[in-house]
Amino acid sequence: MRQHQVLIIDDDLELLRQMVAAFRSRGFEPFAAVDGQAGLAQFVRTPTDLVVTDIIMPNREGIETIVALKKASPSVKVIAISGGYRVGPADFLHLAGHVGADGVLAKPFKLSALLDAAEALLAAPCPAARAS
Amino acid sequence: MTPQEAHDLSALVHAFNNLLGKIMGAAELALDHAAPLPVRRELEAILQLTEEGAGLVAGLRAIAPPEA
Repeated sequence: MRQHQVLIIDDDLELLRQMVAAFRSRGFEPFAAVDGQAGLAQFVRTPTDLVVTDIIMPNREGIETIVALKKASPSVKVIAISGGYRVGPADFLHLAGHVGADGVLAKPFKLSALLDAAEALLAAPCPAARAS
Repeated sequence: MTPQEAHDLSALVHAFNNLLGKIMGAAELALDHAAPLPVRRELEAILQLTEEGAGLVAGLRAIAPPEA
C-alpha cells in the first residue's frame, strides 16, 4: 500500500514534533510547518493526502489556511485542531467544519485519536458531495 | 465577570489545553517504546490524570461567558 503523506501545521513546536513522531510511527510520511503561510508553501511544493492544521496561528491562521488548501486541492482531507481562545474551541472548530475541514479535534486530544481520525478519513471513499 | 476577566480566563484555558495536550502526547509516545511494566503503569497514570485535568479545564471554560 502506498505510504500516505501528511502535512502538519502548528505553531507549537513541541506538539508539532509529537504529531510528526506519532504519524511517522503509524507509517505516514509527515511534513511539518509552523504556520499557515509556511504550510501552504509546503503544500504547493508537496501536495499531501491529508493536512492537520491548528486554527490560531501567526501569519496565516487556520480557517484561512483551510479555505486556501481546499481551493488549491478540493480532494485534500483536512483535520482542524484547536485549544480554543476567546470564544471556545467548539466555535472555531464549528467554523472550520463550515469552511471545509473534514474532521475536527479539540485540544487536548490523544495522539491515537488523531491518528485514528486520519486513517478513517483516508480510508473513506471520496464522496461526490459532503453529507449535509 | 468583566470582559477583561473573561478574556484572561479564556487565554488561561487555551494555555492549559495546549499544555495538557503536550503532556498527554509525551506519555503516549513514551508508551510506544518498550518499557518495564512499572514505567508503563506510571505513563498510563499520567495519561489518565491529564484527561481528568482536561475535564477540569472544560469546567473552567463553562463558567466564562463567551466573548463577542
